Amino acid sequence: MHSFDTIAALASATGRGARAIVRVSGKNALSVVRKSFRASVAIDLSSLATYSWCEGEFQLGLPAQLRIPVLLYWMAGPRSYTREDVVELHFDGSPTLVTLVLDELCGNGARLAEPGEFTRRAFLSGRIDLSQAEAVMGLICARNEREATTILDLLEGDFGRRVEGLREEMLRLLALLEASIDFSDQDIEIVSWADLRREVESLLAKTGQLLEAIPQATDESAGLPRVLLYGPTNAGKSSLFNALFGKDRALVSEEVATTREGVSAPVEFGSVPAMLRDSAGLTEADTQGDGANAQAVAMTRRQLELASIVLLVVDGSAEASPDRLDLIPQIEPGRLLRVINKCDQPPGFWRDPWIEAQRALGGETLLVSARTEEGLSELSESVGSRLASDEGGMPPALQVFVRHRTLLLACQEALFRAQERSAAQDPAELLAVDLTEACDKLSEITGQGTAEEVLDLIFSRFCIGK
Amino acid sequence: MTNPASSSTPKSTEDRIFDVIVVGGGHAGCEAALAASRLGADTLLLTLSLDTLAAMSCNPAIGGLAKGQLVRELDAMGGQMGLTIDRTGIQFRMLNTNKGPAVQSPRAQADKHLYHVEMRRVLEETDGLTLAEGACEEFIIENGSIRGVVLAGGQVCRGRTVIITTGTFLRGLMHTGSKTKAGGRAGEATFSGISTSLQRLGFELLRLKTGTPPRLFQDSIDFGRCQEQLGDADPVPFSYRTVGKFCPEQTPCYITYTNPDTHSVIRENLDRSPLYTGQISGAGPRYCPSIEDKVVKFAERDRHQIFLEPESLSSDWIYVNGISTSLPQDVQDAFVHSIPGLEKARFARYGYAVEYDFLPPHQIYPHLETKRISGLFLAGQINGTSGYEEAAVQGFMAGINAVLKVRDESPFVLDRSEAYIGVLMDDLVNSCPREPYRMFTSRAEFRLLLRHDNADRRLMKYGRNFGLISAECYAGLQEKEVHIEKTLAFLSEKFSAEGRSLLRVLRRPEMNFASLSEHYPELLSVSRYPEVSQQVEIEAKYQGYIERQQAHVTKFKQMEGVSIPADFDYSMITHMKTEALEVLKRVRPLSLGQASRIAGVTPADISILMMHLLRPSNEKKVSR
Repeated sequence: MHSFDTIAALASATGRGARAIVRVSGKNALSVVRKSFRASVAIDLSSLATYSWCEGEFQLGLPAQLRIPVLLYWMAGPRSYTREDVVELHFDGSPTLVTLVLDELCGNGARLAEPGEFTRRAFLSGRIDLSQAEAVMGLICARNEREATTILDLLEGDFGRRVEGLREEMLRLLALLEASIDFSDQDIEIVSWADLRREVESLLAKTGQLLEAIPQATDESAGLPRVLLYGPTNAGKSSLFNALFGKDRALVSEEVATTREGVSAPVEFGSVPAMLRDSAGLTEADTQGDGANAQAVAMTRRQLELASIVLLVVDGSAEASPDRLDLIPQIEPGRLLRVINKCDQPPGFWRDPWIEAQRALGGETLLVSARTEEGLSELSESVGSRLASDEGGMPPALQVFVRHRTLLLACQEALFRAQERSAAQDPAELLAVDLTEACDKLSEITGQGTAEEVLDLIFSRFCIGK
Repeated sequence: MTNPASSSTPKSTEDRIFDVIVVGGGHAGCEAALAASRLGADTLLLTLSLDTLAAMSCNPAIGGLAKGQLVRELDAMGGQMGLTIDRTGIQFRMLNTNKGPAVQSPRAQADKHLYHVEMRRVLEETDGLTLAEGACEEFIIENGSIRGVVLAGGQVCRGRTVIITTGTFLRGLMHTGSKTKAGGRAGEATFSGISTSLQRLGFELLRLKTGTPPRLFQDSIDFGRCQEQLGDADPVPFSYRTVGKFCPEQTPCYITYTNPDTHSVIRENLDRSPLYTGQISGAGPRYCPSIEDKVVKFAERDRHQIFLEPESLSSDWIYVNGISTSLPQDVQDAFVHSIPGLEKARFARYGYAVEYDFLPPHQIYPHLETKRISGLFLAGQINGTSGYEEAAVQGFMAGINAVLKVRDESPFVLDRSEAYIGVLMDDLVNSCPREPYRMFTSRAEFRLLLRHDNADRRLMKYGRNFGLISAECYAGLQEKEVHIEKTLAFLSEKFSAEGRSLLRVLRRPEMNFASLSEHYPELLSVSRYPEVSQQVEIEAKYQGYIERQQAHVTKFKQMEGVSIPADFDYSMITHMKTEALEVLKRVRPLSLGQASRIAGVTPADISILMMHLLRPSNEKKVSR
């Protein structure tokens, strides 16, 4: 009864050691999985009984020809959560593997699920179990809020601006087309086929560039939850970075403020992988705003917003108290871990009273020494358990980027059709269908509507009205 | 008030209870009254003057892009407009013939005098319909339900339902230069009582503006200096029920242009245009701007197109399409005389702007009944629309729904995927028009499916169900469907020499049904029925795209299928943006799909709304 497309998403929480569960739902669920699945014993998957499982390998295509051992669970619709055919893949819970598996499934014809989409389908099919609904919905609510924030953060950046710019270009072309359809009885300039072709080709080129921009973002930062080292200058953040990472990667110097650009590296906290990032230390001058370091400060602020955990590092041996940190943005206690570095040295007179005061405010404070590595394993455990308990499942940023890529690919596909239409000089209303579709895909990234905007553009540009 | 009508007077209706009372005799009112009485309801149509029934206050034309689709849809369900224009049109043209079938639309110049005469004849000959003159001043309400209306002079007309279709007549105010005059149309009165009564009942009223150009005397125009525009050689009627050979009179229109002199006259006198002095507060339509607006906003253009359209074969008035204006008369004289062909033109009527009250349409349900007063319906310009066609379809839908209300049956609503009428009503109830709302094909996301050529295949079943379409007419459609299906089956099963199905062969740009039947004589029998071969050809050409739109329709229907209780308690939603919550409370959407189309409501808001709909306390209320 449903003709929903097939969707896929991570259904478990992050954390290595734990199992990752990727759920696929929709009428092509089995065929989407089967394209990359090889059972360990010869078995016809379509003869698999519902609510049974089989062992096998999930084979990833390029670049690495990875073979991941998985368990495949099969739940035939309508006796499943969504009332559709559902396949679950259970495998080693590494976020990197999750990304690769989801990418592969999307390549096989699935689409990354929207937040709450499984539940929406369960609801629309009348399947939802109301006794569990509250719990499920609470989870979705939390995820939505966080995801929304992350999307906004990302959109403030260059990527968002480029998507929006591309969308506006498409809208302008669409307005030209729609004007030629709805106001053809008026004497307005009509766009030529040659122009249309050129415009569509330029849109395609720009979409391609955007697609190229995404994988970098995923590799660099979005694939893993982020842990940010943050604090005043010369608190020893870079030394701590090196101690945690185990290599001399960050520049270390006795001079104040050597880290001007964020340096990052994958680090395991406990057994949970994350991206550890160093940040430029803040001085009082920086927090006043307009200094030469304004750019580094702005970058640090963005890093603060994106981090799953912020390690606020202060120098326990310094003469001055870190109270001036009042000048920096508030970080909610759930993401904040206070780290007092240089505990191998004599404490500053303020240190112990300060720890007392912080304890009263709630939250944890740890004493470490990057030099002697004292307290480092406690720090690592503490960060790891926080990351693992993070209810978010896949890091929101990761979800967003896989979603963006899927949407951009769909946009590209629609533009290819538009290119064919304009080359064949097919009727304008068909070209308009493809362009609208391309535009709608970008709108899903930026969260805006289309129809009324096109009319607004037409009226601002053309003198309409006999 | 003029003399009582010949057919009946309100006096004789004193102790009678009508099923439906229609207030207003424009294009909405006429269709409403006809639909209601044809459904067997005892119907009263009240108008200020029976001599202006179905009057064309502005341009003498029916149809046009997207509007033509509305007329065909109305006709497929048994409305009157299409039949009447077929009998009274004086120039028929199909627009956009250089584009695909989905965006082509029929348009006709009307003999506006004949149109009125013909519509009045139909109204007078309809059983169960009483026509009367009178100005409605007030409404009789009991327990939140309408019980009738009170006329100026105190007469009472009692009715189970009332449909208000008063157009631009609610506190209508006409502007020419700094002169203003109360009235909804040149030479006519206005309703002020209705506005006051509606406000007293708690309705919100806002102002809109529209304009009309000057009318000139035919014999004072030098058509030799203008370009001639002819009707189609092979005209197509609007109505599916206009049978036999269709050969209407094809009268020419003429085209001329403004020039820099025209523009400088206008520019020099802008300080005398009520649009620019602040005298007019209502927002006018951007798609039909005054010539003042065109000159100011598009200053780089040195000319604007003007169409000279005959108003009627029995009158010598020419409608000057393209120079709607509210400038003072001496300025109108000056700038009109600067236009080629119009140098010596004499004015039959000067252009004017008219401001009027409308009710922001979030106050009605998609079936046009007001949310506030049970049994009270609004249709036409009172809902913020513009255009005879937009008004007519609303009148028709309101007429049917008023009767359904009397019968205590559930309302008749079309959705966005089945008709432009559905798009119109959905757009109206979801967002308050900032300007008079006009239909465009780009408003219809499923426009490849909503074509003027298949309105019968989409909607005639409804007309048949209501008894507005005859069994004979409907049998014709069913026969056509059988032929279409057979032909499509033949084309997809039969393969050409290169091994392609004929359906794919037909898809090639250079192919059409006629050229295909030259190679396949089996098709010759079909090509004798152009209405069948046309449908088959369109399905072949649009294939792929039609399927994709249908997939979108399926998705759309799923969201439409999740209904929101009319009394849903929005105050229990705590996590939504205030702005989204406010607009949801204002519109009170009836389905999740509708909610998702309201401006200011994001997908995230929809997810939150859905979760609240699912709360156990709402479990019983949510139906799907």
